[in-house]
Amino acid sequence: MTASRIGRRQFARRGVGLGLSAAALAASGRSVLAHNHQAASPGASPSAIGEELDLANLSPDIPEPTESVTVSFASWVGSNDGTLPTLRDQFQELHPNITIEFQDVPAEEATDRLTTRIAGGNPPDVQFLDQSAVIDFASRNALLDLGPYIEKSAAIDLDDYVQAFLDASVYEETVYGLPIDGETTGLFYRTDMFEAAGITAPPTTWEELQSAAEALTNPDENIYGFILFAPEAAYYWYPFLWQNDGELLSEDGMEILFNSDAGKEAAGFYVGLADYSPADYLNSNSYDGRIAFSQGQVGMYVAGAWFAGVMQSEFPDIDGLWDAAPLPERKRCATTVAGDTLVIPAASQNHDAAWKWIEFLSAPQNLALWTRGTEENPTTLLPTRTSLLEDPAFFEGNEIMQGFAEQMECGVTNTAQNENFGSVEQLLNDALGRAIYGEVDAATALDEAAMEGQPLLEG
Amino acid sequence: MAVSTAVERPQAIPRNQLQRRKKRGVLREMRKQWSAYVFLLPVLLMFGVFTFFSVGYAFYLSFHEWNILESHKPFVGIENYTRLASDSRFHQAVMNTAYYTLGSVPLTMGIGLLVALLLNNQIRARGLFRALFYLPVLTPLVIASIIWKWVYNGDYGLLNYYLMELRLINEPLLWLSDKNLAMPAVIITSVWKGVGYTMVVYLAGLQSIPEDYYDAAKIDGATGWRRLKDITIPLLAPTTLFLLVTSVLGSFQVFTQIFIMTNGGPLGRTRTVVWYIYTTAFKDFNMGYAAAMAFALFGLMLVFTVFQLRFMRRDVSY
Repeated sequence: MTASRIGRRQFARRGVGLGLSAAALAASGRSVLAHNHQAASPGASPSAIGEELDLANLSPDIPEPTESVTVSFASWVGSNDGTLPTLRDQFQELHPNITIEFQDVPAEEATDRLTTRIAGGNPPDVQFLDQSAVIDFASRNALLDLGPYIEKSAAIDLDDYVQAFLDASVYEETVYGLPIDGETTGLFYRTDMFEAAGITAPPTTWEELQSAAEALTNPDENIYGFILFAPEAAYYWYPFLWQNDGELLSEDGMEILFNSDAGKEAAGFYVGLADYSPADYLNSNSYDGRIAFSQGQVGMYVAGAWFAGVMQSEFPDIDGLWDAAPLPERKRCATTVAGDTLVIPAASQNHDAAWKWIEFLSAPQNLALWTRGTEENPTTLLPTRTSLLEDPAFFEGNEIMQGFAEQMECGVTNTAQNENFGSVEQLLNDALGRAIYGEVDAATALDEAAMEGQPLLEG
Repeated sequence: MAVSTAVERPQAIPRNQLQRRKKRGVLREMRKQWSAYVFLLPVLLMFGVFTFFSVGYAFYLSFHEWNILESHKPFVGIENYTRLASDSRFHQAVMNTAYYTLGSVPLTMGIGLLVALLLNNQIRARGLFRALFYLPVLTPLVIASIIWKWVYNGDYGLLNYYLMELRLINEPLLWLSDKNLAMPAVIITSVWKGVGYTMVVYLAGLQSIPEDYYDAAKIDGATGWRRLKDITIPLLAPTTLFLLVTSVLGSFQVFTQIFIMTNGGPLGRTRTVVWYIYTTAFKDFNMGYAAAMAFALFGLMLVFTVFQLRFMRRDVSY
């Protein structure tokens, strides 16, 4: 989907740049493993959950390959990250007949590449996929139904997954993916600018958000309270829609509901924030806009948890000058969740072995390792399993993530049970963009998008 | 080959027999030169698979509906083509592409010619200047686009900084975020990127003009301007035609700068035809319609090329 989280993916890709220390760490991790074969995990998992599982045999009813097979794993996180190579080594030791081959693909090309590989009859055995794309592929019969495997697995308990993540992997009541990591959206704010403007606490309601934005804004000095991005307008508008008790589509995905009164009110409020946003960034994206926040040009910034990672690693100078808070609320709390999912293309050749690999990665202790990252290269990802989110041990030494984790109960996913939702989302994005640029008022924009989008949903 | 058969052509032989003989002549010639064809084979295979087959397959797809992920492709007749007529987004994309072409091609060629004329003189460090002007051509377009994105930044972009220093503007311009400036900004980047190429081609053209003409004109008392107008520019006509045709074809296919710098925004003002084809194919999963648009674009390019060749190809001989 075009309006998805450019920022998060860009940052995920930045991991390549940060990868030096990670690679060094992976190397040392391997040597530790070589010395100590009986070690149960590559590094100490941040959580003890899942310890009782027999990692070598998570689904005994699914036969182990009798001859050696290679499972290709296409992702943008494989060989450059410290955790995955270590997990792969451990997996290969437990499954001597399975070799995992990492295939690197840039994050922003991943879905296009998967599309062409499926069309060419040569898909990878496992794909690490942005969760917002899972239904695009599942609804077109491109992914393997994981239901029969999940039934036989000791490691995968669907009830343990956060519903919002699972929703993004389910199409017509069939599970097509295992959510491996995620994040919620929060409000980042500059504490120094808040202090200067005499604001004592981050806003918790729409009214407070607006007055804070107003108090911070001073166009003469090129200082703004908020920042909007027209190319990502829909994605960052969703929380406001949901907070106002609005809905995107009907549950069956056949009817547009975003132009309800609640939706129009939410869009009016959101678009109105353009008054407090720097015009220079209106056609930018949530990754490029980080500069404005780091320079103190904008005081508040709605973004996923990835933003904390960017600030920590790219702008250590402003450490202590910013903080993160839950999004303000209205009728209810709501935040958009995003994440990544492991899927098996239906046309791939090694379904059983591929399953064993994604099942292994999804075992709680391994999922904890992946989402926590390493000490040298911590991630800003959240686990997708409730048991881990509720485990205080997981957040020790990583307290900023605790706040984002607590938001998970307000998490909603912006996917829908309709194969053409991507096109509708694009229409909605265009419409909100026009409203942000003042070409049309927010309510009319939503009506126009709904009128044009409804026939698309009906196919 | 054509020459040799023409020489042998006997008048009395009936037409069909002549053709047969001609064909045999070609085959014989091919057999004689077989090694050349062996060397050509890899290129021909590549061309066959990646161009000829792809184009043919796209043409087939343009009459079908296909989501690329599934194998079934229902035949829809000319529906994809009739949809083009009523799709206002496609029309907008065509207009934006025309805007881009009208802006970028004359500027790139004009500035390229100017630079070529200047660097055709015996000036100091001529090679260095030529290299500097050619440098942007060697820069990958993706990287150039990312750099220009920052050059255009309203708050601390270099372009605004210098424009303000020169007192040409009082307020920073929002370039990529302004609906009326985004396309000009993309055009400026493309001109910067393309001038080096037109310069090199024009330099080659200039060097093929014999000095004698200029000497004769000088004796006749022609001024520098007259020599440029009446000798240089007319004699560069074949070069100009070549550049015009290739530049127009290239600009019809503009994509990378748009994709990186504006992603079609603001308000769709920089959505070009290829950008729209890409999103239709890979975001909407509608390969058939995307293929139909590609052939519509091909039709436009064909018409323009034929038009240019028809009206501009004049044999220049002195």
